[in-house]
Amino acid sequence: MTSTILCRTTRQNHQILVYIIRNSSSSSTQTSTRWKRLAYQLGGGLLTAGTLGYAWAHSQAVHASGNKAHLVPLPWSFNGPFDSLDHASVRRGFEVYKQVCAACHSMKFLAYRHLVGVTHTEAEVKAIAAQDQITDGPDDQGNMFQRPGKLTDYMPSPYPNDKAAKAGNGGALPPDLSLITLGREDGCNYIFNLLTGYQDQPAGVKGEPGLHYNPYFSGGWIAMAKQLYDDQIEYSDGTKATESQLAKDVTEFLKWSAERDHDDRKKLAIKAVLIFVPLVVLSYHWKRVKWASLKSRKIAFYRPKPKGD
Amino acid sequence: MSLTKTVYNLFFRRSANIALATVIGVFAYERIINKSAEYIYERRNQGKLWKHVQPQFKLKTDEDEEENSGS
Repeated sequence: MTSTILCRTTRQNHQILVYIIRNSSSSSTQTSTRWKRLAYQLGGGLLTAGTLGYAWAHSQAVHASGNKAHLVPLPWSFNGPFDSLDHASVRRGFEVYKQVCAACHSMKFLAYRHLVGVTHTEAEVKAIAAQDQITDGPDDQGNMFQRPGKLTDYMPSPYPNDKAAKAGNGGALPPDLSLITLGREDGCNYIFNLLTGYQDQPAGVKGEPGLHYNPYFSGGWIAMAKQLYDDQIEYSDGTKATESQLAKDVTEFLKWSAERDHDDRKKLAIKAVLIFVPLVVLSYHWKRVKWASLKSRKIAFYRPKPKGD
Repeated sequence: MSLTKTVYNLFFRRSANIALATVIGVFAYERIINKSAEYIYERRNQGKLWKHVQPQFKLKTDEDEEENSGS
């Protein structure tokens, strides 16, 4: 049974709670509850730590004994939490895709209009689209026909369907590249290492005749041959087209294609920090102000004198 | 001390004043946040964004036009 005495001063509310002790609790039950609490805390802590450690160890095992080479993590220009893509690089990457990769790989989720204001002006994209033939139709006779591309068209696929793609590439399907950096573990680092990682197989390692050795590919044998060579294309902005430059630019282009909101997202991150940091500080201060009366209250115990002395 | 007193009397005494101060404050805060975020972002990513990259291509097409008209 408790009684609350509220003592008001001019500025503060002090609560003084008075507890009247009925049954004096013996020290033995106090210590037993203390041991029980300690046991629960220790047991719970060990259980949590054990579960987390087990899960972590399991996740590590996949990487430790995997069937592909460890990647080199690269200093991409967009690695930081507030860093954007390099749009000049994305523009060059689009050229690499168009001239090297588009022969086999589709990008069916990318439209010409997506390039406007990101890598090219509207007039430039119109000109680029007009150079490509898009399958359209059917016409009044029921036939499909080819026509020059418009801004609203999606990138044309090199093959009409997957089976044609497989037939044209020795039974292997060249994957669609629109979301490839999201669709592969370690995204950009994997793509770059893969493209530049072709090498002679180690002595004694055998593969099938149609496959090529690439240690960064799962299992080591990939159906795609080495595609990037020095000075393979000429960049329109005059950059020297070394193999690593080609790989870097095309990877940055693929990253943009998979995450077109990347730049906006990172700008929003700055805004979020600017908004939430002052608000958190203010909220904490406000909480402390409101809790001050509770935090500064006094609790008084008294034991009633035993009757019949 | 008197500054807090004037601020209180001006902004926090009447709830209508609180509401007005909140509305104007939110508008001003959002403008400040947007401008600051843009400035920080563009400074950190100097040379990478499209608005920085585009002029160098416009220059090229202007040069080509000049060359074509000249020759």
